[in-house]
Amino acid sequence: MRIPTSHHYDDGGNEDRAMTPMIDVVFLLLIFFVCAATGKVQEAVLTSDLSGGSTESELATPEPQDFGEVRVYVQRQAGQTVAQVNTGGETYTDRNRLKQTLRLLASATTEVPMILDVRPDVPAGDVIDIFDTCLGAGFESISFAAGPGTAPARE
Amino acid sequence: MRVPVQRQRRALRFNITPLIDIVFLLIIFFLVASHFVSSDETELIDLPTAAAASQEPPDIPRRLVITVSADGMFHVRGRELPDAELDALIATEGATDAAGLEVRIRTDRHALWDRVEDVMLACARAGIQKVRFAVIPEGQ
Repeated sequence: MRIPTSHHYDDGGNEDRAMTPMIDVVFLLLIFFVCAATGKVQEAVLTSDLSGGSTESELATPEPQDFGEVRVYVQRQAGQTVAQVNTGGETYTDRNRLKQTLRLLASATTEVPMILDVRPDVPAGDVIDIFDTCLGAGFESISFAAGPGTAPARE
Repeated sequence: MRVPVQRQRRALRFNITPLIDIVFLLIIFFLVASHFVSSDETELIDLPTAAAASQEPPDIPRRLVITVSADGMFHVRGRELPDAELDALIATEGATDAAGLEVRIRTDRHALWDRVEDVMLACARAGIQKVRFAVIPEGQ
C-alpha cells in the first residue's frame, strides 16, 4: 500500500519571515532620513553684484556730498558697530532708525547709488545686517567701497 | 489499517539572505554618500541672518563657495585655503567664464570684514561680478 506523501512544500510562513528584516530596515531608513532632514537649516542668499570694471583706487578723503550718492560709513565705536550716513551726519546704532532714514532717502529715488564704506575691524555679521537694512529700505544699487575709508568729521 | 502519520516538526529556519542584501546595500550607500559629503557646507559657522534674503535660483550656475570662519581662515571644498592661494584660486576659477561664475561667501558673523573684503577684491580683480552672501532667513 502506498502511503501518500506530501510533495509540495508549504513555504508560506517562511516567506513571511524572510520579508520581515527587509521591512524593518526600510522603516529604519525612513526614520533616519526624516530625522536628518529636520535638522538642516536652509541657507538663503543676499545678492551683491560687483560693478564691472577695475577696482577703485583708495580715496584719501571722501568727496563732499552732493546727493548724487548715499554713503554709509560703518565703523566700530565703544565696542559696537555704528553707521553714519553722509547726508545728515548722524550716527546710528539702532538698525530700525537707520532703516527709517534710508527709506526717506530712497523715497526720493531708488536709483541713487548707495555705497557702504566699511572699516576692516567691523564684524561681518554687522556689515551684512546693515546691507540687509539698505536692501530693505529700497535701494537698488548698493556697492562696497574698497580700502580704508574715513567718516567725515562731525561739525 | 491505520496509517501512521508522522508529523515532522520542521526546524525553525530564518532566511537571512534578504537581510544580508540590505546590509550590503546600506554599506554601499553610506560609502558613496560620505564620499559626496565633503562638500562646500561642511564647516560649521554662525551665519548672519537677513530679512531680505532670497532663495537660491532654480538654475544653479557655476558656483565657487568660500567659507570664512570666525578666526578669519578661508575654506574651499572642505579644505583650508592659505591666504596666498586665494587670488590664484579665484583667478583660475574665473579664467574660463568670469561672467557666469557665482562666488558665494559663507562668512561667520564674528569674522572681521577685512577678510571678506579680501575675497571681494579678488573677485573684482578676476572680473567676477556675481557675488552672494549666504545668510539664514530671519525667523528660522
